[in-house]
Amino acid sequence: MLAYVVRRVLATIPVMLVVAFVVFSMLMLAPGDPAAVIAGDQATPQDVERIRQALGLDRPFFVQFADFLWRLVHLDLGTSIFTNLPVTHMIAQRIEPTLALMVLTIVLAVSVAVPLGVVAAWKAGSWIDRGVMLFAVFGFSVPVFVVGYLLAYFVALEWELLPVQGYTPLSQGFLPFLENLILPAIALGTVYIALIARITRATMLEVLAQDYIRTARAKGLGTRPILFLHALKNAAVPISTVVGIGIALLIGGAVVTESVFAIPGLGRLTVDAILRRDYPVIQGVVLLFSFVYVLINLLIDLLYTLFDPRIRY
Amino acid sequence: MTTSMADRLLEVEDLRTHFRTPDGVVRAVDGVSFHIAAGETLAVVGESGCGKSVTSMSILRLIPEPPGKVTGRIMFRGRDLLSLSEREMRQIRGNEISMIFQEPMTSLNPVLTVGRQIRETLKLHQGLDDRAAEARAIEMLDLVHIPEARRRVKEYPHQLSGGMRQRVMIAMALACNPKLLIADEPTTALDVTIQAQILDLMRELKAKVGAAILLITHDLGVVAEMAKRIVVMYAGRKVEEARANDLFRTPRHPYTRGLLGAVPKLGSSLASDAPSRLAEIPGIVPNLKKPIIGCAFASRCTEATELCRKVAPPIEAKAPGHFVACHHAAREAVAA
Amino acid sequence: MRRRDFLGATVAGAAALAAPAVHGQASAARVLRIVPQANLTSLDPIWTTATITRTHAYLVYDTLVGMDSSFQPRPQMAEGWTIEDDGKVYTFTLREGLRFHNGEAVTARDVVASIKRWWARDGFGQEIAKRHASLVALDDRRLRLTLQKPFALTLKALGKANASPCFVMPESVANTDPHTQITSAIGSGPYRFVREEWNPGSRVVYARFEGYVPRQEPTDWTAGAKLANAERMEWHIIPDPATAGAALQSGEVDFWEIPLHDLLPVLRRNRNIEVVVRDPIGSVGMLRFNHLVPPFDNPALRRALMLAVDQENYLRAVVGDDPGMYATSYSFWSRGSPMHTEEGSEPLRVKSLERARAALREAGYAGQRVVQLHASDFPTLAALSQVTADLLRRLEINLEFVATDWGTVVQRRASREPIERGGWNIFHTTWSGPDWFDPASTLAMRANGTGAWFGWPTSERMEALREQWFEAPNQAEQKRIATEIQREAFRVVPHIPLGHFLSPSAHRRNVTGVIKSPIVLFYNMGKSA
Repeated sequence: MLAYVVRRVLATIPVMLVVAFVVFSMLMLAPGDPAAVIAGDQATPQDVERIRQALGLDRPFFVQFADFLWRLVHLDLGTSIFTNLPVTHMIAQRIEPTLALMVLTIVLAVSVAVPLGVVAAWKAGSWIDRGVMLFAVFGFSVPVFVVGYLLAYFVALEWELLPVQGYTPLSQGFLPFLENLILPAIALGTVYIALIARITRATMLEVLAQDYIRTARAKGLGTRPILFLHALKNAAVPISTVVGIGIALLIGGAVVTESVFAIPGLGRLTVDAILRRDYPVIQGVVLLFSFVYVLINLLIDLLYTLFDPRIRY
Repeated sequence: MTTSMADRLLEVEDLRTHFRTPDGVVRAVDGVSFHIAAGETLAVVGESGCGKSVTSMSILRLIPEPPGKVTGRIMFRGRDLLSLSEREMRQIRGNEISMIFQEPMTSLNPVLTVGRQIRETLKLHQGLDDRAAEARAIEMLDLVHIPEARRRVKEYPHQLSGGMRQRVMIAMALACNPKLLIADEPTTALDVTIQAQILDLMRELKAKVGAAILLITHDLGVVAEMAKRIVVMYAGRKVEEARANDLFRTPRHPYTRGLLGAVPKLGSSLASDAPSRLAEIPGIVPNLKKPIIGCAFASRCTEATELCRKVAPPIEAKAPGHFVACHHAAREAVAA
Repeated sequence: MRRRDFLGATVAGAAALAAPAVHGQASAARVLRIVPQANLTSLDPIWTTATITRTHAYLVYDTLVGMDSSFQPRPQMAEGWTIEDDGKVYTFTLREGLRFHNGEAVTARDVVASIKRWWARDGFGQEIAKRHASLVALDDRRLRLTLQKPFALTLKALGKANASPCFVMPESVANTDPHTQITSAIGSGPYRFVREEWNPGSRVVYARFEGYVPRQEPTDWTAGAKLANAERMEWHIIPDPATAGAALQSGEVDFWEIPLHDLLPVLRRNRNIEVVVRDPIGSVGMLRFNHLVPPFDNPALRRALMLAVDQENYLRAVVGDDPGMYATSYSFWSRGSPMHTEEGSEPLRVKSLERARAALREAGYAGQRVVQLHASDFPTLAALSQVTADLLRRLEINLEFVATDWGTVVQRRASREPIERGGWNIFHTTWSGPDWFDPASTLAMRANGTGAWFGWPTSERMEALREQWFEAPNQAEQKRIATEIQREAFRVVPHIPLGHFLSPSAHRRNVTGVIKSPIVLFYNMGKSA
C-alpha cells in the first residue's frame, strides 16, 4: 500500500513535467502580449517594446522555458508580470475561497445526490424516481451561471435572505463564511448533484438486483440498512469514481461561479491572468490544478480499498 | 393423512403468485397447497420455471409487490403470513423462517465480513450486543465445520471457497434457531463432492436444531437423500404429492414418470458420474401468461386425451398420502 | 426577515458565531465600498497608462501642480511658484508639512526625481524634457526648472490629469528605471494603500492618511482640498456586471463607477440608488486605420469610408436609445476642450453609403482583403466594432473579421507586417475625453510614421503644426493651430472619430462628495450615517 502510494506520487512528476511543457508552449504560441496590455492604450509602440525587454519576454522560447523549469525545480513559480507579487503568494491568497467552495459543494452534492439516487433506485418507476431524473436532466442542461443568477435574484435580492456576492474568510466566523458560500455552492453543485444522483441510481438499480440483497431481506433486515449499508457500500466504487471525475467539472464550474458571485478564488485568478496574459500566474495555477487533480484521483483510488475489500494495491 | 392439523408448522393453501407485466399477467404460481409438519423435510421438485422458487419466495413475502401479487393463505404457527405487516414479517424472516439460496458465490455481501453478516441477524432478532453476537458467530462457524472460525469471521466472502460460503449461509440461516429452513437449490451450484458434504451438514444440523426444511430442488438425487415427502410442481401447479418412497416406486403422474426416467438408480446419483438432473421431456412448458385450459401438461403428455385438453384435472388422493392431478392416473383401492 | 438574521434563525443558538458580522455593521458607515471600472493589477502609474492605476494613484500620491475645472494649472503640493527670466526659470516652493505615508517629509529632491521619471515616459512631459536645461532641488522645500527657451505649457504639463500625471514619489522609488515597474505604493496623498489587504482581482483597500494636510481652497478637480472623508475605502472588484448591480441594490457596495448601460433603467428605479453623470465629457470612440499596409494605406480609401460613417449608429450601439447618454462630435478634439471645433468635418456629416461606394470605386478599391480586429470581451469595443463590420459588409468590402479578446488585439495591433503575415487594417478603441483634449494630450494625433501610435499615420504637416502649437503664446493662437491640424486630419484620416458617450456612475443615496470630473477621483467621497 505505502509502496503503491509512493509509486503513484512519483508517477505524477513526469505528468507534471508534460503539463508544464504543454502549458508553457501553449502560452508562448498563443496570441497576446502582456507588455502591450501593461502599457495600456496611451503608450507608444516603443514603450511596449521597452517593457517587453524589461520583462525578458523577447528572449528565445527555450531560454524562457529553461528559466521557468529551473525556477520550478526550486519550487519557485515566479512573480506576476503585473502585480509583481510572487505567484505563490497570489495563489495562497486565493486558495481558501476555492477550496471552501469546492469542499462545501462536494459535501452538499454528495449528501443530497446520494440519498436522492438511492431513493430513486429503490422506488424505481415511481413519481419520486421520475422527479429525481427530471431534476438530473435540469441539472445537466441549465448552465451554472443561470442557476447562479436565479438564486442571487430570488434568494438574495428579492427575499434578502443571503448576500448577493463576496466572500468572508472562515477566520471571521463560520456563519458569515457560510452565508456567502451557500448560494455559490448550490449553483455549482446543481450539475454535480445531477451527475452523482444519476450514477447512484443506475448503480443502485444494479446492486439491488443482486443475490446478496435478497439474502439481506431474507434475514429480516429493514429497508434502511439494506439500502444504505448492504447496497450502497457495493455501489460506492462507481459513485466515488464519478465524484472524482466530477471534480474536473467543478474546477471548470468554479471559474464561472466565482465570477458570478465575486468570490476571490483561483478560478477568477486564472481567468484574469489569461485575459491579461500574465504567464507566470497562468502557469502556476494550471500546474496546481493538474497536481490537485492527479492527487484527487490517487485519493479516490485509495478510497476504493475502504469500500471494497477485493481491491488491494 | 400422516400428520394432524395441530402438528402442521406451515400450511400453504391455494397460493397464487401472479406478476403483472407489460404483455400480460404471468401466473408463476397458480393455486398450490401443501403443508409441512414441525421437524419434517418436504421437497418441492420440478423443472426450472415451474414456480417452486417463487413459492418459497412467496412464503417469506420476498416477492416485490407490485408487480407481483400473492393471494391465498400461508399459515405459519397459527398466523397467516399474508396478513402480517411488513414490520411483523421482518421479525419472522431470518428468525423463525430462514432461507438459504442456490448461489453461495453471490448470496453473501462481498463488501462485508462474514462475521458482520452473521452478527447482523443475531443483533436484529436476538438483541445480542456486539461481543455476544461475535461469540455466537464464531460458535456458528464452528458448528458448520469451518476451521479457524475465529479468523474466518474477520474475512470477506471472496476469501472463502464456494462450499465454505454455503456453510456460512447455513450458519447464518440457523443462527437464530429457526423453526423452518427454506433451502432453495442449496447444492446446485457446488461440486459433486462438496454437495455431499453440504447435504451431510444439513442433515446433521437438522437433527441438532430440529428445524423443518422446505427443500426446493430439481435434483432428485438430493431429494432421495433428504426428504420424506415430495411435492412435484409443473407450470405453477402441484401435479403430484407423495411420500418419497411411494413417489419413486410408483410415480403416478406422467410428468413425474418423465422426470424419473433419467435417474439411473435410487440413491446412487451422488456417487456416480451419471446425470442426476431431471430428465429431458420433449415439448415446451406452456406460456404462463395465458390462462391454461385443461391439464397444463397435456401438450407434452403422450397419454393426453380430449378430456385432458378441456378440463383441468383436480388433485385427488389416488393412494394413501398420494395425491395426483391426472385424469388417467390409476386409483388404488384406497383404504381410507 | 433581514439577511443577517436568516442563518442565525436557522441555526439555533448560533448568535455568538454571528458576532463578527455585527461588529462589521457598526463600522460600515465609515467604510466606503466602491466597484471600480477594472481590476487594479499594477501599482505604477508611470509604468502603465491603465486608467485604474491612475485612479489608484490619485488616492495615494499627490501632484506638485493640480488642474481645476477650467483646465487651468493650480498649485497643489506647491505652495506657489515664480516664473522668471521671460518664462525660462520656474521656481516651486513646497507646502509645509507634506509627509509620505512612511512618515518621512517630502523634499524637493523627491519631486525632482519624480518629474524626471515621469518625463522619460509621458509624451507631454517629454516636451518639457527636450526644452529643459536643468532641474534641481535648491533646498528641502524649493526646486528650480530652467528651460532653454520659454515653454508656455510647462505648468499645464506638470498638472496634467489624463494618461500619466506627474505623481510625486519618494526619491529612492522615483529613481527606478521608467520601464521597470515599481513595487512600492508610498505616496503623500490623502489615502494610504493597505498592502496586506490587497488581493489583485478582488480587493483593494485604502485607509485615511492621518498625516495628510489638505489645502484650504475648496476641492476643484485635482486642485484645492483633497479630503479623506471615508475612514476606509474598499474597492470590490466584481467582474460580472449583473452581480455588481445586484450588490449595489442590496447595499453590499456603495458606489459603482461604470455600470453596464443595459442595467441603468433597473438601477434608476431603485429608490436607494442615484445614477449620476460623474464625467460630463464622457468617452470617445475611435475607428483606427493601419496606414502602413494596403488597402487603407491609401488616404482616398480612408476618406471614402468616412463618408459612410454615421456616429449615431455607433453611439446607440454602445449606450442604447437614451439620447441623454451620447452626443455626436464631428471633431478630432474632445467636447469640453477649448480646442473643440467642427471645422472641416463635412465628410463626417455625409453619412451616405452611396457616396461612400462611389468614392471607394473612384479611389481604386478592387476587392482587396481587409482585416478588422475585434475584441469581444469589452462590450463597448465590441459594439463599435460590430457597427463597422456591418458597414464594411454593406459597402461590399472583402472583410476578414477577426473576433478575439483584447489581450490578442493589443498584441496584433503592434504588428506592422502586411495582412498576409499577421497584420491588420482596422481596430476600435475608446479614450476618455481628456485624452483628446489638445495636441499635447492626444497621442493618437501624432503623425510621425513608425514613431506614432498604433496605425502609424504619416503627415509632416500635422507634425509641423503640432510643434507650432506648443510654441503658441496664447489660447486663441492654440485654437487656430488646432483647427488647422483638424483640417489636415480630415484629409489624412489617422482615424475616424465616432462621437461621445457618457458612462454614468451609480451609488447609494447616502454617498456624499462625488467629484464631477472627467478624471476619476475617489477622494472626498464619504457616507452620511
